[in-house]
Amino acid sequence: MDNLCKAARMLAAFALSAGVATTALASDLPPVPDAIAEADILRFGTKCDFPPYGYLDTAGKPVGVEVELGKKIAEYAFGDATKTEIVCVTSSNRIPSLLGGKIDLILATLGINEERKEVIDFTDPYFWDGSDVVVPVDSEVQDLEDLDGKTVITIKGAWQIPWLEKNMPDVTLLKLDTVSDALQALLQGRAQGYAHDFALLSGLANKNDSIRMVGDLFAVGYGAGGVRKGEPEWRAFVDAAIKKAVAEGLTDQWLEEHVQPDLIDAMKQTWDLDNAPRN
Amino acid sequence: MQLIVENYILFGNGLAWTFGLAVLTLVFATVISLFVGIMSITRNRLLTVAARIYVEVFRDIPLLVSLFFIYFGAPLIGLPLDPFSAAVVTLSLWGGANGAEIVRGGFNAIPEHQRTSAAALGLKPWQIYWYVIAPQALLPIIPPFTGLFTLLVQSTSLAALIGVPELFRMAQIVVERTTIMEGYSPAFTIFGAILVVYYLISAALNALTSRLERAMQHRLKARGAADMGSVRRQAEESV
Amino acid sequence: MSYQFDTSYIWGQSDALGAGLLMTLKVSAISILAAVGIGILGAIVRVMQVRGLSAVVAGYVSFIRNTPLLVQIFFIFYGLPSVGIHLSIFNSGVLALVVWGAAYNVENVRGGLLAVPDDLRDAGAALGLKPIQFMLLIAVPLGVRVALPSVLNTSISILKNSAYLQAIGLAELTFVAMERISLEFRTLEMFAAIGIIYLALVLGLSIAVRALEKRLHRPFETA
Repeated sequence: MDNLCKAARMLAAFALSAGVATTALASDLPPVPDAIAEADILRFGTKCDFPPYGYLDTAGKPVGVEVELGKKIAEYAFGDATKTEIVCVTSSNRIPSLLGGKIDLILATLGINEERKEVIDFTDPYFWDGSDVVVPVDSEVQDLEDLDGKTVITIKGAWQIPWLEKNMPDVTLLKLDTVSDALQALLQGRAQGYAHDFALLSGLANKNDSIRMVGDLFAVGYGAGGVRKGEPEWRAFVDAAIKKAVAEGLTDQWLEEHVQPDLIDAMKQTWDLDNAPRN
Repeated sequence: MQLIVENYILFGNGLAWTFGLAVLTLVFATVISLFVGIMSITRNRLLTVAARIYVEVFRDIPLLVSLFFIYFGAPLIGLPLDPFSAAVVTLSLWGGANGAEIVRGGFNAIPEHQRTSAAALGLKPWQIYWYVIAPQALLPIIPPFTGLFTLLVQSTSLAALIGVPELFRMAQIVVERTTIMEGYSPAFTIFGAILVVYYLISAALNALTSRLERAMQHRLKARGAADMGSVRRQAEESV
Repeated sequence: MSYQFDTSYIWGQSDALGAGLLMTLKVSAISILAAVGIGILGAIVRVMQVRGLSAVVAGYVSFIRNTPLLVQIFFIFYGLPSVGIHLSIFNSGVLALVVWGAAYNVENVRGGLLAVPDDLRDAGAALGLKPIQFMLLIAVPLGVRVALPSVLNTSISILKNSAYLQAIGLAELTFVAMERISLEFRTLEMFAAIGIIYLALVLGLSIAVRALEKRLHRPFETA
């Protein structure tokens, strides 16, 4: 618990030191594009195994902050939050699902990066996070530099990958699919560190005695929704809807519902873009 | 253990998908098996060669590779399949290829004199097949078919790898969710419990098919089918 | 959709595919040998009805044959570490394939042992052979010969099923192909390549098994 309070304070300090982005203002919603209005249902993709963003509850229902966000967008669009079709997507199939027309919106911990910008349009970001590394508790690694020339685990498609490739070219990356995979590989000694989003790693390190955070924050990333290219009206609507939800204080409320108590403070910061550092 | 109890609805949903996948697959695979199996014992060279190629391709290439191929490859030739359909198609084709071999083995094991004797009695070809060959061929292939069904039910778990929310995928989701929330992986308990569930499904299936076998044996005996020890052995070996 | 199939791409990937194939062969060969050995031991335990042990082996065989190999692999790789057993990817893969293949081989070899005529047992007893001596000197050599075709079929299945190990990240043939596909999107080329490799391997082995089967059968052919 101590660790976490410290972690939250660190994240806050990091955010402040990095500067503050412009404040988002809520505005009236633009019209819902015809295609969506005709469908009269919002089909969006979320993660189903990634709390608190999107996960299945014990009854197998998709829940989480991004799920709530999607339902809210449906409510703004159709006046009914139940007019949704929530599709479980993974990091590897979310963009193909969007492009293949199976969903009309990605709300699935989608990090903004240049490669993706070539195939889809991003909405305005709605969360951000720093990155850190966890290491085995008895590791000698004290900061990021100590990992130079070593093997570091990342999750496929994560924003830590381009940062590490650019800034630490001597690090060998072991790219895995899931957090359980990553944790296991780290404890098996297949890598010397596991780099991922700060908030998630804080949660892990706080509960698992065999790992600890390095505490050297790097690589800020932004998460946004994803829509198909050539649908600017839909994009504009989603942007406005997300701003409205944030302005109404709904995201904080959802975070309180879905985040474990020890992580709420840290997570609230990552969902507050006023706090986000400018890159 | 508490995790299992807590998530029983979630696992129940997964189980429903598994059953759906299994039932569709078993039905399609059986139809394909009979169709291709009979195709391969006709005298038409084109048919037998086509059957042979189909059977060899699906039996020799790992099921997992076929599944990935159909799921990822189909959209490239303009035939996008959702995960569930891709799994049903692949498992059915795979099961059909293996089943066709069983059917072929069953028919081929019937001594030639059965056919010639029946013909000498003046039976028409369809009568020979329907009254003489088919009853003798079908009963002994039931045990190897049961084995194939069990394998097919187990193979539905592969669908998890392309994202079908069946039992095993649900288990993976619970493992990942719990790891993120608790900091520890519950893989031992969850996957262990899932193994037990699959075991129980297989046991139930075995019980069901052995009952079916007994019932059929009874009926066919009444129709005066001949002794089929050797037929049965040969059919079993072809799995 | 237009997709240009590019044969030259496959040749350009021959190093990566070769490495994958080598891993497939390595993990399969080790697993097949161990699965045959354990299969024979298990079959002896079953046929000689070693007290207690026989039931354990029967339970093991039944459990493994009635549960999905893929879940077994995940249980071994992801589950065992939480009870303190840490195995590498390769060792986890070998363990999973051996546990699976041996369960089938116990039944294969048991079938062979049961086919050894009772007369031989009586003859052995008359010669003063103890049951275990009879088993090892007479029954096993004969029974394994009878069981050989099915043992080889199981071995081929082990080779095919080594593809499942891509799910835990073993860099065997299927894994290599999927990895290249995720980077370069030459989906059809890669599947064509590994499809042909698996087909050639399995078809080649199957033909060898059938030839062997025929040869082994020759002394028993009548009329």
